[in-house]
Amino acid sequence: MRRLGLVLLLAGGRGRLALVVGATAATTALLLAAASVVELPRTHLGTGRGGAIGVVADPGTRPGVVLALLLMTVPLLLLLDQAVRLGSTSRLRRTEALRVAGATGGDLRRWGSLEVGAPAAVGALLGLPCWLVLHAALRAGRGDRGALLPEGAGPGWWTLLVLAAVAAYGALVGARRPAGAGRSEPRRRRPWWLVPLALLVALWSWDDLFDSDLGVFAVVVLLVALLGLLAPTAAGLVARLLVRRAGSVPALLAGRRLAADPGPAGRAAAAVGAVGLTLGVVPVFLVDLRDTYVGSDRDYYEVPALVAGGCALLALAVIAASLAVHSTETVLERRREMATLVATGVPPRVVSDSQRVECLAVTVPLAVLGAVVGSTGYAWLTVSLDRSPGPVAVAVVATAAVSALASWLATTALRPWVRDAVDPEHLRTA
Amino acid sequence: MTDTDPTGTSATATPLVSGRDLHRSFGRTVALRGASLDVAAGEIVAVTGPSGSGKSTLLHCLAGVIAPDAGTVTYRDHRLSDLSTDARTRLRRREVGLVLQFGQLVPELTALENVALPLLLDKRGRAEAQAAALDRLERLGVAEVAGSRPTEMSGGQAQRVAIARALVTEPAVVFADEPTGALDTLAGEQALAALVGAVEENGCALVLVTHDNRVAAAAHREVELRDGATAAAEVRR
Ligand SMILES: Nc1ncnc2c1ncn2[C@@H]1O[C@H](COP(=O)(O)OP(=O)(O)OP(=O)(O)O)[C@@H](O)[C@H]1O
Ligand SMILES: [Mg+2]
Repeated sequence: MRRLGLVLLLAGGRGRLALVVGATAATTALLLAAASVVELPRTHLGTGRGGAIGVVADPGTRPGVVLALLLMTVPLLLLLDQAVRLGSTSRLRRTEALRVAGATGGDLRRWGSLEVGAPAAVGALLGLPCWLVLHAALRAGRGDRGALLPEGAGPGWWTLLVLAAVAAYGALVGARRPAGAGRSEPRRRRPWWLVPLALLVALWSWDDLFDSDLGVFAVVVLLVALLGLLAPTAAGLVARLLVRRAGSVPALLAGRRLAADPGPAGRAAAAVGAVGLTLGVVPVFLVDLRDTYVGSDRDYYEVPALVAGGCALLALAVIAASLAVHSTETVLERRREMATLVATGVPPRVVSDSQRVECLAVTVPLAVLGAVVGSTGYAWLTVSLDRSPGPVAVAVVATAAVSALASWLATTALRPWVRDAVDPEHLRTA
Repeated sequence: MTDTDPTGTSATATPLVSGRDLHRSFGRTVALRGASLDVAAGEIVAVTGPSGSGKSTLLHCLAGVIAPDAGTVTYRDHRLSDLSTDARTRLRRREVGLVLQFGQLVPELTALENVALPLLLDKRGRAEAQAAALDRLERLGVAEVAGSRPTEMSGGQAQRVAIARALVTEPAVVFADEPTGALDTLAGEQALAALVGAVEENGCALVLVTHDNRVAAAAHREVELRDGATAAAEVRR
């Protein structure tokens, strides 16, 4: 019975609370870091001892740093969204009961916004010390080579703004899903990805596109947008392929689940695409760097590139975890049906394998697509592709392996809960 | 039908399924205290008794879904407790069909996929599994919902799809726990007729838990449970 208690904990209550607080705290820390970089011109410009590392101090590369920091909040916001959906079945029942008791839609929205907004506010407050720790950690051991985050930019007026914004966002997310409204009907998707594609094509005719910082920045933003908007469509395609070609039961279950509720998978796929882009660029960039620069000039770019790569890996882990949590939530919602399946002779392994397939089917293809675009794109830009396709191949294969590993680990970690939930011993109570 | 011995439990020398002196508790609640039931091949047995008397628990023990605390369940001379978990799972899939009151079909899968599922697990080809599943659905008169999800079916249709899934592996015995309990009278009667018809056509045994006397009347034999034990006298038909 203790393990059942853990299942219930995961399905709502404290697990949900901890996830909301954690995701908002990390988001706040990243937003504060981004804000401190934006704030930089008026506080500090120097490099070297006491100053910030080159790419942060250099006004030309600074927008890229800010963009990278902002992108890193995306997987965290996904996790937040997932956390808010946790335990939606039991909360839906509660909502229905409240409605019957006379609560209006407005009441429910207010209640939902408080339910998520309050822990989000706590998370935002905790984000402040998180940011200070991040700040100190990134400075430690850097000696006089410049801190990874600007030194002088301490908490300022913008700190309050960021804290308030994060708390308000939490309240908004809670109000939008008043206490876990059930899954919405899959909406028809409009081909929004055509917009960045058209803009990219239009930009292409601009001759010195890649000579200006603005041009490169625009291309990167548009590519990220294109991948992000294309990802849900791609995830849907993978789901349909799985269903059509599935010879195995886990693949069939995974494909049908993805097709029935494409929203979370699509959002995760979009984030994975962006991560894949980064993971594709970094190795090619590093090899290129090694061929072109020596000494401290190399350090100027190498450290931020490595940090970006590390952050991308971290983001991948967070996305895989949020997908696995979502898939487990679905299984817990279907506990009775799944326990019946096991009772009729479906091995419990099949149920957890289906989650693994679901997770892999969303992450790996999009990560690889992102990596291919990122690595070949960057290699093409720097003409290093002529020299050897090695780095590109390494980038793509490594991204595929890492995304598969992240999915595998996340679904493995959740196996015990799934096993317990589908145990036919609980068939009566399920 | 099967030749049954006029005096008692089972006619054949070795019954298909045999539960002997089964005990099972949940915490401090004793659900079974020495219940026994033999089922011969092709036999239809109704299990009746008041609510809470242990009918579902007995059924789940016999089907190998839960393990009894004491007592033995044997399938054709194999003790369930001697089998590995995997072997028990396989036995449940191939030899046993299970029909419950409600909520047994996977909501994301179509009726056809739900029925084909056990066959796919036994590494039968996709096309073969789907053909067999469609054939089952046709025989139970629900071929028209083959492409529908459980939420798009009526309760009676969903129950027949569940019966199709239980029968698609051609099991030796089907256990049904109040299969018509959640249906209105007409749909219940139709689903029951479909179940009994299919079982007779396949020649497999059926153990049917029910509150309903009319349902029990469809059985060859009726066993009554009281406080977790099988009553000594069995009603014969
Ligand atoms: N998983 C369980 N956990 C706790 N108690 C249980 C569990 N399963 C059964 N019981 C208890 O065991 C007793 C027998 O239950 P069982 O479900 O077998 O009865 P039943 O005859 O099928 O009743 P009904 O006609 O209401 O379905 C009841 O007192 C019930 O509360
Ligand atoms: Mg019962």
